[in-house]
Amino acid sequence: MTGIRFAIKSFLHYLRYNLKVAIGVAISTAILTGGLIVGDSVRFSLEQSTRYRLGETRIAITSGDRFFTTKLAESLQEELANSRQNGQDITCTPLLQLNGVASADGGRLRVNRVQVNGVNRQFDLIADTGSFFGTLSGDEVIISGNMAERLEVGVGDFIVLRIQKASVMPLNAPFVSATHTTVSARVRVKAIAGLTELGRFSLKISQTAPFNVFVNLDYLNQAMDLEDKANHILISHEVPLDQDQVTASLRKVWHPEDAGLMIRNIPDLKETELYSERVFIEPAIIDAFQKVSANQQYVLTYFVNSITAGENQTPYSFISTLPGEQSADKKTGEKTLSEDGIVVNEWLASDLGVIPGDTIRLDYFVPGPLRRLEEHSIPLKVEGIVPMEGRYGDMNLMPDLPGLSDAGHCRDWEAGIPIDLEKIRDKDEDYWNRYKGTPKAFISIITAEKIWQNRFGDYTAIRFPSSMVENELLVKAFQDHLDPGDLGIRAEFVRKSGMEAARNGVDFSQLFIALSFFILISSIILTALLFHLNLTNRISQAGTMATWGYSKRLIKRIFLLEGGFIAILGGIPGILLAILYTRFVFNMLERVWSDIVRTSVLEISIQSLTLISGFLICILISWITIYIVLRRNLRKEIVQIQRNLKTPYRSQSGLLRLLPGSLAALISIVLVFTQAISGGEWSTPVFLMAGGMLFLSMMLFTGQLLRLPQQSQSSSLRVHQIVRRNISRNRQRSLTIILLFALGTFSVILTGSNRRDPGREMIDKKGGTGGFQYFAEATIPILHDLNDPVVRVESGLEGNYSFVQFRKNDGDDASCLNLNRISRPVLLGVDPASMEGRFSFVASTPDLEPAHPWGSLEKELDGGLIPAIADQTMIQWGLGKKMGDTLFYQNERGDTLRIKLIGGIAPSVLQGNMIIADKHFLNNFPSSSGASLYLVEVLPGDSIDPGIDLTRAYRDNGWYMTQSAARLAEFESVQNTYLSIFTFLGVLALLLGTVGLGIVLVRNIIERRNEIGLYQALGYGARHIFRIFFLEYFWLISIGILTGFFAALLASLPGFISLDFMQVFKSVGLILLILFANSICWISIFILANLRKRSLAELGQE
Amino acid sequence: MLLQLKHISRAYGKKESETYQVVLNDISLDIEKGQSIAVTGPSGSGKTTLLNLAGSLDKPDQGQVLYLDQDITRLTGRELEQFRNKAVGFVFQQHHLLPQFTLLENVLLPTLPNRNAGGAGDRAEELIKRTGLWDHRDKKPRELSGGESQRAAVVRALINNPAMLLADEPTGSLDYENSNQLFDMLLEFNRTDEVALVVVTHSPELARRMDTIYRLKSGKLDMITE
Repeated sequence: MTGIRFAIKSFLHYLRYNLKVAIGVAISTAILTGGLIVGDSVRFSLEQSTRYRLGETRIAITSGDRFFTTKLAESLQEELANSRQNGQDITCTPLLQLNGVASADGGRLRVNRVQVNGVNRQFDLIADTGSFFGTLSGDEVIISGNMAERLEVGVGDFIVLRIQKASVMPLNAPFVSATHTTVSARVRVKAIAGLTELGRFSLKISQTAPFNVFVNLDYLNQAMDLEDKANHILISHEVPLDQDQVTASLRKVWHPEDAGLMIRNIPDLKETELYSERVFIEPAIIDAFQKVSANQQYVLTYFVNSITAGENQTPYSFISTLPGEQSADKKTGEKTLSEDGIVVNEWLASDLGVIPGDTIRLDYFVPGPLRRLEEHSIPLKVEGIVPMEGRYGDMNLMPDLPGLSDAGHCRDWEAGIPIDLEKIRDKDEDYWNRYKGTPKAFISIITAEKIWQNRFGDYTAIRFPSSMVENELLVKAFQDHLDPGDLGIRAEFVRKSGMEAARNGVDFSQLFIALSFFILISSIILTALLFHLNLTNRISQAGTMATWGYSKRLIKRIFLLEGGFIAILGGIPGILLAILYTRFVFNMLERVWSDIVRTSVLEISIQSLTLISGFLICILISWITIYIVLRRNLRKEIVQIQRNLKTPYRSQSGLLRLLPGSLAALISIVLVFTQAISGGEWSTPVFLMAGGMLFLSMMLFTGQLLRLPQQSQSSSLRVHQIVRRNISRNRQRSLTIILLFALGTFSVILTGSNRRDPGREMIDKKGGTGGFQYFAEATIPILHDLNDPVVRVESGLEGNYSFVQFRKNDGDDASCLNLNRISRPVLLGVDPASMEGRFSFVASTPDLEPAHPWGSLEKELDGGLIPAIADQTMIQWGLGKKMGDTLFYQNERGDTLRIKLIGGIAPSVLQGNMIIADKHFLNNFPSSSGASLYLVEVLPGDSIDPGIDLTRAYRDNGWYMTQSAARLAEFESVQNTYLSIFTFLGVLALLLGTVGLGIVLVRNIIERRNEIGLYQALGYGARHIFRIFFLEYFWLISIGILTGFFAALLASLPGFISLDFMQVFKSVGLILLILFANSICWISIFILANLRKRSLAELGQE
Repeated sequence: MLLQLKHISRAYGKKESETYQVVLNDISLDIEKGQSIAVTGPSGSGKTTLLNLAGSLDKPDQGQVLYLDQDITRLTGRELEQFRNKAVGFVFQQHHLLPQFTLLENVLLPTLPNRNAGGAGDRAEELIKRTGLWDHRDKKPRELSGGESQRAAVVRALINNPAMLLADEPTGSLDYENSNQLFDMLLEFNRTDEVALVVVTHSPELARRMDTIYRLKSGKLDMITE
């Protein structure tokens, strides 16, 4: 005989009983392993989602609002291929991606936030689709499945696209016309892209499917009046590539055109000019070219509203810096032109009637945020009059400004500033016809820099002497001294970061195990109960074994071995159950709980390591349970074990006995007291802890209550006395029932009382909506200030609104709607003054001024840190950060932008974004044109429907507006869905409690057959016997439910206080009633079924 | 002397409480090798307690239990286990055969912790044959009669060749005929194998078949016959 044989024989002999225990193990295994599989599967699904949205893309080169040539993709591919072994596997695909709005059925059906992707045949390599995208031509488009569904269109149908006008110039740059910000096109659907055809293509990290339109790259370029431009390069590769290799290769092959720089020769002046398509040349480019030649000249030409001398005025003219001034000054060491001086051409001198020494005034616009224009003036003294020839008659000094420089007549000007055509005289038209935008006057470079340099750039051109600087030299200087990153062109390892975001995203394993906490505990208690009951039957065997000289260790080993077999017996079906459980959960996630995942791409991933882990954990739990039961029993004397006698209760003093329960109660009271006197907002975690302590205290006191000696004081015996004695007789079983029901009730009540109702915060300025009725987004940024009454009238707005306008840069949505772990949320720029008094702050650093929290965003923090405010929920859960932490971004110049979190606001509609001051935003993203995100407050006095009014006005910008409360509800639906899952699993825990109740009850009836027989013999009727059993379990369940109820009530007190009491009272009261009714029902069924199963007479005989 | 109980006292319950009860009060008993002893007495007089103390299943409040002059109350847990496994065999009123094992397996169970139990199979065969149970060796306990089960329990108690057999009301659950048969068997092992036999019994008739009879009453042990 060996221990293993002993265990096997015992296991097989007691198979019937062991099977029952194995069912308990199977349930625990299923819940635990199921939770782990759900986590694996969600992670896997997110990874799959990354594959579906990127195809073969590994790296994406992005250029922000700039455009490079499509040729750059070809050159880069060639360079990377040549520089790497097996480099032929590398493909570089140009992509022109723009925002747009799509509509169908005469505008009845509309989709905002559309990604319009200009692609060529190379894109098929990214999508691995053979020749799907390569066949697109003309007005043909391929659209994503979700878009086809939304627009109710199929292949062959037509849709209308309104696409953000791609402009090589920043739209809010001075003198850039904003008349046409969109381009519309009627296009035919050629095909519908599904999951495997990159229908979900997106470079943003999110599991939700975007709306995609794929169009031929050349067609899109044409539509935008561009030529061979792109703003992304998608790189796929098999060979390893790192950041440095890509950046170095890019730098080696890029050309000035890729930075929007043009080189032209001006033979008459023997000069070579470098100018920018973006009009103003950024400082990084200036720096790169500063050492090309000692005689280079910086040019800054500006359009002024008027030049005035006394009564005379010349309207709308270009003024430039004085040609040759800088080299002359360098040569002579003297100023050619003083800072307050101006040199005018003959035409202007004649028009104004000025001679040297006269003073003239220049009036010009300086652009502010959102195209707000401020008119400035400067008086200057005429220091000379120059002929309109040579360098003073240079037409090329006027920058290329579409709508202005290419206009045939002054009356056709579209200058991006208001032009008063009344002021334009015939002589002005004549000048334009003859000299176009040839500057009429010249000022010192120092003065020009002072008054006209702006966030878009410092100069409009750089000129080099052709004799000294050839074009190739400029190209070389460009490649040698300018890094693509300096202009915000950067390589992003999108595949890697996407996968990392997916892997580090919301941990559904932890989440589901946490959500399953009570059901898991219940199933473990149930398993322990089953093991306990099983072992209690067999414990006398352990006593007998001890009389043979078996050591306790050997006895434990044999029982643990047998327990291992039981665990295996339960664990294997438990694993299968876990898979079924996962399928069930996924089914629910796809249908009922979809709010927390927001993707249709959910795939179950079953990993052997997870199954093994779940299985081993359950075996461990089984062993621990067996070990505890054995240890407790083997502590007794052998004789007691053999006869299955209970150890006489070691009587402790009353005080000592009540100490643990009292201590738990005291902690609970102290926690509540500290909250009550703190005067601040009540902390949910503290109350949760207080509720937990109350729960523990009540369970401990109940345990002691069951131990109390019961002495009958009266001469008569009543049913309740019999019931009380029976409850105390098997204290552990009674406590188990109480605990199971208490846990279930606790979780159900806790979740039921924490549901949030966003409607109540609708108009509260300190609430989650900030008091704004609407939250709006514009797919295509709106360039103007919507608070400007003139703009409103021009837009045709009828209602009266107040807007908070946010600038937005590309980032990822970090709200709870995105399951991925985001490291760079969308960055918003706002005027802090417009936010004062809105939203509530729940966390802050000392940098946040309590009196003017939003105003703190204007601060300049030490070390160049930029202060930021964000939703605290997002900071904590979405980003995994805390107050004072720093986030890193890259600004438009390629510099690292360090954002410090100084304030956290309570859950709000702004969740998912990081908010900084407009001032800091524009410093770092100067090209940012327009606002894309709005909070709208409808001012009283209008009966206009804001939804209709605003959507009509900004329809072409893809204006998408939701009620703030609805947006908040969307976020809160995530929390409410988690609570639903928690409630559901809590109900399952109660179900397990009911199973436990059934097991204990049946077991007790069987064990008490003799007692029942005795009652019969004593003349008790069936009703009496039923009543004894019913009351016994009714009391146990009532204690359990009330323990859970009161503890949950305390735990969720902050929620109760803030909610509508009557509403909560009704819902919680209803839950309580259902719990009681359910319990009474089950007790009756169990008792009746088991008392009837064997006739009472039969039981009596036994 | 095989086993000596010297001035043994044992009480239950908390002193000064109502439930406090002295069961054995300064009792001494000597057991020699091959001796057979019957302990009689009214219910609750402490007969089983006495037997449990002799077999190290319980510890006295006072006094010594000497086995071959060694005080077993001072043995460590491991030594006590070895003592119970090798020196003493127990037979109870209930047979305590484990239902999951056959008769033969039940008999062999005490050999499991005994690493030096070589030839246990032969001895089991010999003992089972001597008790007339060989044909039932592969039967499970539920297939055996009460008498057969109790005989199997005796064989199991003897498998490790103990020096002493302690039987607590071994015939309590048996009819007259089976009781006599079991006693015959116990006495045979006592005489042939020189196993000391201590039997607690209510039956004066069976007690008279022993070398010595003791009566336990009110915590005192009196020798009635020798």
